[in-house]
Amino acid sequence: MHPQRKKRLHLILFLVVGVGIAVGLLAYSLSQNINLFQTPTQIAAGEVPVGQTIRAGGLVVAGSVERDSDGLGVTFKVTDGAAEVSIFYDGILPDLFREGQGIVALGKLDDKRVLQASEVLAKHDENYMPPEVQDALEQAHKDGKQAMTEKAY
Amino acid sequence: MEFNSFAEFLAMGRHGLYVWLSYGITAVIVVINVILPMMQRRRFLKEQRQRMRRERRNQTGEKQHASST
Amino acid sequence: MWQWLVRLYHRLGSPKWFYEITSRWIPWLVGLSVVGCAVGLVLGLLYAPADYQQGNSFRIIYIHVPAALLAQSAFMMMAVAGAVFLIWRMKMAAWVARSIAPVGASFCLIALLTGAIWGKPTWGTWWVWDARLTSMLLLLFLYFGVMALQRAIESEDASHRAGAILSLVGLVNIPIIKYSVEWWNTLHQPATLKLTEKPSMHPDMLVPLLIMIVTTYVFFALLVILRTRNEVLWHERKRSWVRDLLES
Repeated sequence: MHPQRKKRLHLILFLVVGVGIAVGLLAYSLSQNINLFQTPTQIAAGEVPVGQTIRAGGLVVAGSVERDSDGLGVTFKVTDGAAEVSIFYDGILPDLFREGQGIVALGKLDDKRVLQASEVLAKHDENYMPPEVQDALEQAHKDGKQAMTEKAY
Repeated sequence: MEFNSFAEFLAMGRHGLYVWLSYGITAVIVVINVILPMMQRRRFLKEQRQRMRRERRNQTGEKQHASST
Repeated sequence: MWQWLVRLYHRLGSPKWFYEITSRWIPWLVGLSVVGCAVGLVLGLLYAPADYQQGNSFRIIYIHVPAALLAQSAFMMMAVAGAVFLIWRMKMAAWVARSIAPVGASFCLIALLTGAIWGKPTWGTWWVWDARLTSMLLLLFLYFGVMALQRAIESEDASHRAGAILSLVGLVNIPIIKYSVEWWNTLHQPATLKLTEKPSMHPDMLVPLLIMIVTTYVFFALLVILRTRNEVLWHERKRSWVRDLLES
């Protein structure tokens, strides 16, 4: 290659790699702020001060959803598999809200360490399938469990 | 087919607004992207043909001018 | 093979050759775009089953995902064309880069808008400042920046160089967009289509998506070729072959 062209090529590579490293370091140092939400483990570990607005994310614990008798208020727990956080919310929940669903709640921890949420968003996973397939999967899962327990007896 | 009637198709199971709004906006942006370069080409051809005609007229005009004197 | 590539590269550098060869490609690109779009949309909108969680709103995926993929690929192609221009001073590369920018920006805008519309019924919000959405918005602004530079400066050569440098710097954003959903907690879910694993999508839903992705790339090629041909005509307007073309 022509020496001048080679020089320009090296200059460009240097530019791209240099900016890449700089942005990479920046992103790494800011990674806690780039996270959209805190996990229940982080909240349980006391990483989140009471009274500060945060986002908490996790899966809705099965059987934990309790609706208030008087109004729209809902209390439920979210988990990341290691810890749980209670969330109270009195608003309209998104369509995808259900037990086992991933959600992100915006709110403040009160002194009982319950997150008083002002907004609840539903996450969804990367899986797409028709309802029948989902039913079949669930059925297979159940049958599998049954077979396992039967074997155990 | 997933839908039993055209009305059902339009309704998209109460998500019609979102689905059709998305497809509508996309269609508009796509059409603009097709039309813009075509218009640009047409304008270029028109302008350049005019320019060439003008140049030729000037050339022949100069020739006539030269022969008359 | 290598020699063939080198020859193709030298030919592509010739504006006249580019103009003539693409005249033959355009009908095919138009045909493929129309057929691919028709088949993909009929399969996606009419025949694909509804999603078990999202119902029919998931059908937005057939424009959202192809547009988002293309917006990123187009940026990379623009940066490569910019690098070719910077290193070899090939004029055609600069014209291609300038043709890619507005088309890529359009697809980036489509991805952002359809994503917002899709987010409302599924997540419960139009917009959230998570890493994926924010880095995608940054991509749109990078496109605008490159477009402004490519057109703004008095000397055409200098403006091409400035645009090429910004697009090379902006390349850093591409891996950030791709891995944002893995490196950080985001509201956006991880990728459905993966290069190394089986896609997490039912085949009846996947086939139309793949058709739409391929079609989008073909359509993109068509749009870039149309714009590049205009650039070629404009810059070569004083050459005899363009004059002959105008005479006919």
